[in-house]
Amino acid sequence: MSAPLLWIGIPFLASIGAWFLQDKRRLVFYLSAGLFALLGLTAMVQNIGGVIRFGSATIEIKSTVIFMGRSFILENKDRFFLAFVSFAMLFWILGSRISQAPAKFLPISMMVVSLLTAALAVEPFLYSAILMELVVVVTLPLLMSRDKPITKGILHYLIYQSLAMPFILLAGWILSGSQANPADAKQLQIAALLLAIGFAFWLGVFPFHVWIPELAEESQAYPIGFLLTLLPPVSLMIILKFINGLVWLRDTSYLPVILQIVGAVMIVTGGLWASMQTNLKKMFGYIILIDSGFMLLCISVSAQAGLELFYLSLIPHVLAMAILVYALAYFERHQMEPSLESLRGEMKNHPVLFIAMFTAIFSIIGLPFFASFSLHLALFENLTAQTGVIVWVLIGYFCLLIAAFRLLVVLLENKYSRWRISESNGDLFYLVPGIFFLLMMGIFPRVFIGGVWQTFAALLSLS
Amino acid sequence: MANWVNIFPILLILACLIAIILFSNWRRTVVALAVMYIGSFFLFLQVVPITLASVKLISGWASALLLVLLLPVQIRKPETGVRSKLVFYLFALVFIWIIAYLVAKPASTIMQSIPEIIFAGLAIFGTGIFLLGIRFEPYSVILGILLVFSGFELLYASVETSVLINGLLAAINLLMALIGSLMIDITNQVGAE
Repeated sequence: MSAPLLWIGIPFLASIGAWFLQDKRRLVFYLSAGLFALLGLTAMVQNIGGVIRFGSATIEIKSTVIFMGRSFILENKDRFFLAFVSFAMLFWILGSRISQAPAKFLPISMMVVSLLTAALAVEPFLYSAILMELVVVVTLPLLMSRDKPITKGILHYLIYQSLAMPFILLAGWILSGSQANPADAKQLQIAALLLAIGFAFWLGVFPFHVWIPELAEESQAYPIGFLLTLLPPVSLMIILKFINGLVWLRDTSYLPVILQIVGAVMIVTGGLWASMQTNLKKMFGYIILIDSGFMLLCISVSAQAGLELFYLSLIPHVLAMAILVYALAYFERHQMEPSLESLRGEMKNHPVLFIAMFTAIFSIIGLPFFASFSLHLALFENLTAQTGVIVWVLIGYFCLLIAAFRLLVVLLENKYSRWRISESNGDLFYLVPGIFFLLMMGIFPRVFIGGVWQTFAALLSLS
Repeated sequence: MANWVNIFPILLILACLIAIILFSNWRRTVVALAVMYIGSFFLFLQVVPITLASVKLISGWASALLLVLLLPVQIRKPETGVRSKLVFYLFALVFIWIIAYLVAKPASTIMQSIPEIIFAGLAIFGTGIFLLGIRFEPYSVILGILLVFSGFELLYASVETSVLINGLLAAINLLMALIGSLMIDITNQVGAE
């Protein structure tokens, strides 16, 4: 048994099986939830390279598998990623039942997770670009519907993500040639430029970001939420792996500066546009941009601190995004238009839902007592020398805050005389713990973010 | 030009690119795409084994076939008949090819490849990007992406001869055409309703 077979092969085969069993939704739900719970736990407790014992029988977990002449390598340092995607997937599987995601959601999302893991594991790296392109092609049926025309967002998503592949492949080829002659600065500059363009397409950096808010607005909330929540951090992890593999790129003085500028631009543009939106789904798209910008800023900070900040930020990121997506799916289930105009005064009708939404938005902004506050503080401490970047980032977050307050004012309009909780028990079961954990992460960051991280670090032998 | 024979497949490719952009009929556009793959095949032959070049040709034809099976309900493109627009498109194409020609020589030095192949690859790639910029219905977008990939494959095949990577690129081409046919089918259905 090998780790790539366990975390890539099995989910891939399971997704094919689930595709043919779509009608038996309950069975697929329990089996896929069980599978990813098991994979997540295995990632946390099982050493890659060690053995699993069943009585007298032992199974060795090897790190490498050769497939068609290429290596897929998953090592112990990848276990955080494996645990993260497995548990994030489990989280989305559990939510899919309450939020009535389409039947094809589970098989396609499992295949996406399997391909993303393969993209991280494949050697040489340039094959990741092809696997990411496969992710794009696989996710399209999830975004399309037989009774709706093909939307602008889907076409933009297809165009921008597909354009990334040629640039990254060409950069990969130039870099593989320049390993023999690292002194050839001109070739390295060309490769860096091609890489930057490719990564900008992947992450939706301004001006290649249009597909994110468009898709968020036009598609069903749950599938698009899954895609937009998982794709940016995983793309960043792949980019990080790539940067770490190239010593000359990792050690260049201009890399942090570029990452900081790009991160700040994403936060400012995301914040500015979010503040002008009247549609909450579109606003969610811009929030994704802001969060991706924040993660970019994290990895721009000096090696270990930045990496730790990036990994730590994933915990509140997944939770806050899951709550926002849940809220958007709630609007769809109750035929509520997610626009400011039609949500006037609705706070009194759905108080828990909106409190959860604001908790998530304030956590993303990093207000005091909300989840990401300590992470924002740590990031700004690390960026003290770059005052300009901090100012622009604060402007971006301030714009998002304006958008949040505008929404709050509209929701609190005096339309209904009495407060009542319209949310079902299932909704409360999902939302109330969400609010609780986001607040606890803000008030006791050492326990709820640091604690989770330390548990991970201890189990994965990262510290 | 070191290999003057290359002028024939290049001319064929450029003629097909003009046809893809200017033809008002969808069916003729796909036929032009299929013929363009023949031109590419002759260029591929100079840098990869005939088996791999054949794979590229067959996957390209299969993509074109998938698209032709599900042509849009409207057999004519929406904005045809405006002559000034077509003239503008033609000039834009020529401009793109001039840029491709100017870039081909230095790029071939970096990539250590045949300049004609680099020129053809860049011309197809640039035309694909141009098509993505001027038309925005599912059919044209898929056609544009197929052109971009086809141009890129031509560039890339001259430097990367790995069978697996070239095979995967061919598979992505096919998948893209499959997704395109699904998109066209949905568009036709919704249009009919």
